Amino acid sequence: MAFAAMAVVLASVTAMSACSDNSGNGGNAGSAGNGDGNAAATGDGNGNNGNNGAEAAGPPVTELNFPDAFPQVPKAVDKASYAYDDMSKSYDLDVMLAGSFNQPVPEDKVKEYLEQKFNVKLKFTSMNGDDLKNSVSVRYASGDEPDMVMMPDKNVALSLYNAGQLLDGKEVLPYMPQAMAYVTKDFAKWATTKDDQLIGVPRYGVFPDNWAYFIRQDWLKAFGMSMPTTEDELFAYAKAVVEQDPNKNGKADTWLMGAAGAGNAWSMMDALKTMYGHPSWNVQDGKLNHPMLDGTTENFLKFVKKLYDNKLLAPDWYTIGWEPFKAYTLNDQIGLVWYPGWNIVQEQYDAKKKDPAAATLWEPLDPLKSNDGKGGMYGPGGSPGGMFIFSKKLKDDPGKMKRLAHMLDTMIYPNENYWAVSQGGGPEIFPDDSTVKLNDDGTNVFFIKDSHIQKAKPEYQSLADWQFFGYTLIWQVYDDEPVGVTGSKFNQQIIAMPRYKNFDMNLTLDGPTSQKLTDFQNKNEISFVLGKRSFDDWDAYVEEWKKAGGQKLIDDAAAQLGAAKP
Amino acid sequence: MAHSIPRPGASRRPAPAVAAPARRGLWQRIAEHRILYLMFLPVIAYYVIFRYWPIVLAWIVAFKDLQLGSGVFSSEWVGFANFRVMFEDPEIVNVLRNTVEISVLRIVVGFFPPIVLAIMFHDLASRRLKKWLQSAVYIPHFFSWVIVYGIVFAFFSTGTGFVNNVLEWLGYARFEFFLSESWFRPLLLGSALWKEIGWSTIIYLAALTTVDPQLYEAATMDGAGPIRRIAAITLPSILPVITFVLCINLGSILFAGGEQILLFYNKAVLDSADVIETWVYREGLSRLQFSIGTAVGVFQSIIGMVFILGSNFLAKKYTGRGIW
Repeated sequence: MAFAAMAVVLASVTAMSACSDNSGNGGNAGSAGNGDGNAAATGDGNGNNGNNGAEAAGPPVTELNFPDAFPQVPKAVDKASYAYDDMSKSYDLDVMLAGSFNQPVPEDKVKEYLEQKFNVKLKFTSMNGDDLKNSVSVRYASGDEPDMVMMPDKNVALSLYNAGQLLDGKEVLPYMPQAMAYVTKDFAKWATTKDDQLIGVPRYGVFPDNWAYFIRQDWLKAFGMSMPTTEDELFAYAKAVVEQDPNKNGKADTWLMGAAGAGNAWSMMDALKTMYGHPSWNVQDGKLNHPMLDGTTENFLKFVKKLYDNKLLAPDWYTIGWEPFKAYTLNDQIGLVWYPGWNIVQEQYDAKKKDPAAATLWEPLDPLKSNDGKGGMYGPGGSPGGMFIFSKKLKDDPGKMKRLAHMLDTMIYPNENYWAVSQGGGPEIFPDDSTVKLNDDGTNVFFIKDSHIQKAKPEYQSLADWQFFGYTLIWQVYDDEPVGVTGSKFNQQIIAMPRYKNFDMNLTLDGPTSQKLTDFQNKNEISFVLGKRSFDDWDAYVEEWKKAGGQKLIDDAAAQLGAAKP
Repeated sequence: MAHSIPRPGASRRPAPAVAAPARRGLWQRIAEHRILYLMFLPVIAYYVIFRYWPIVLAWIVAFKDLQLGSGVFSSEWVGFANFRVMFEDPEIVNVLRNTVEISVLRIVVGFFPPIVLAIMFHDLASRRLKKWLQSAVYIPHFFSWVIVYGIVFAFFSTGTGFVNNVLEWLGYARFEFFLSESWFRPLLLGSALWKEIGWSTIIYLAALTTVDPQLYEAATMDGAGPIRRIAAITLPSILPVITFVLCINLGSILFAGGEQILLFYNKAVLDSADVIETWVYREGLSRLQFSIGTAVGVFQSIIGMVFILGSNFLAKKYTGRGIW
């Protein structure tokens, strides 16, 4: 009989686990009930700025008046704004974001901090953008949807919204007064659906449009050249880089650049397209335009082919990933890179064992022009850095939704937990490792000790994950010599550079078609560069592009931008 | 003890009939062995819930327009619409061709080497060397495809790859293996063979342990050399296993190893690398078109089943042996 009992137990356990696996909704519904039914009061509510069991207040934002621009001087909102949150109740929150790594952190101090501070039990998932898209879609398909995702891809968010899976962002935004300050009219329009709802809550970007091409100053000087301004001058510089052995090691191991997109996209080379015209959807003289239609893409590819045919690109230039490519970049083998201002200075400085001269090796390049005078601008800026999307199931548990909005909002700049969750854990968690100085003009200096990474995240040598909810470099300044001062100067220099107008902000194109077309373009564009397809076929290729979905997007974009079709 | 010896001419009485056990019904047997069946219940539950029920669901989803949140059963029936989407996709012809070509190449390249290697192991006289070699060739099986790609990259990358270093040393120009469509498949198949050849020998080695050693001794005494012994004894002895493995491999004809290809391919070689699994990954998972992805899965299963049945039929017809 002992065997019988064992068998019954085993069978029951198997069946129960199977059922629980297949009933994510039910499980979540149970946890969603935490707000009321499972509301184990924690007594003191952890001394937070929310309401401790008293009658909850209303939302701090009563009317959604979207600002024209980010605040000139960002300020933290009054803590009393979160009086709506009954902190005596505990909730289980399931949140996901697009980070840098897929590995969970065994001992996550930031998570512990937030759980204690917000009386929540957190399930936190951080993974790279592509994996996040797939993971989120599978979780929604299986009924095991997370409560909130920081989604960098609007297409996936829109698909989820169209499937009726998301809560209208307008229902959450009133409880996020800090985030509200950054939901500009343009951002709101970008996230607004046809039925005037918000797919989610847009957030500011991590980088403040501070990406540009950087060029080696010492090499230019050695070649007796000045900063290139046109495609021909850039080509001459490229030839010199390869032929004149600028790193003086007697080996043929210097090249202009590489795509560094892991074989999937142009990545670092993509911005060369701006030499020839607007790199995305745009309107010219009332008529819709796309780089595929006006020669921009064709000329860009011809230039890349010229570089390739002349062997001016680094080995594995197309298939190598961004991180491995740094081995070339930082080891004096590359003459041109696409980088954020401060980062290239910092990374080169570290690679040269903190030699002050390393901070001056690279300088940003003004946008280049084509030989026929086009270009002279970098790609459009001012795009949002993704959006927070909320599961529709939160509608059934307003308390949980409010707690999530409360916690999230405090991570937005410059609110009380912004630094706590940034860079692996700020001074609130690691008081000896970092300092924060908030300046009167709204900027901040966030100093991190080099040794901090060992303490915060020794498992994978990165400080990123939680910070992707709210972290931004828009208002971060540096006062350390030589990296900080130089990097800040470059950032400001790049931000001031001319850019093409951003029309994408006003477009919501069909996600699957856009993705399919991107794959189609990537596959064919590399074929032109490698010589598998001839540029004599270009017109035929444009027709193929239209059939592959381009025409559908042209029709949609023309309608949405109110422009005539090309 | 006296034995009773039947006397000649004595009439033989029929032995008393021993009642043959009555054939009991299934339920009776289950009742009799209920404890064992109860212990087996979790296994049955596992297979029903995690193996067979998903097949049922897949067949339903393939004919429905599954929308997120709507559930399998409340989704709208769409007939063969998902299959039409698949077959009307301009990429699908190329994708199917790549899938079949790569699968067949996998079978051709990956089928015989493990048999040869297993026979070599079997004939090794030194048990110590045999164990050491077996362990060495099993190890790559435990590497993930990410690791294998890293190793392949280390060997074949243009900049620092060992092969290109050798080419340069010999006076040849460096070659971009990863941008070459003609090199994509050799790299794919070669690395797959390296990873799995050792592990694939196990089933043949297990079959070889059942061969009576006296057969080899007799053949040797009759003057048979090593090759003759292999042809006359070893191969016929493991032929049922070879047939079984071949039939099962043919069942996977539309499964070209998507996980490996996802890591190995890039846009420059997509035309010769894109297979059903990678297409489904992009169309089904990344673009949230689950029904289309599932329809393709059903299509793969049908073709796989046809190949298993067909190969089993042919194997029985020409060798007299099959899986069943």
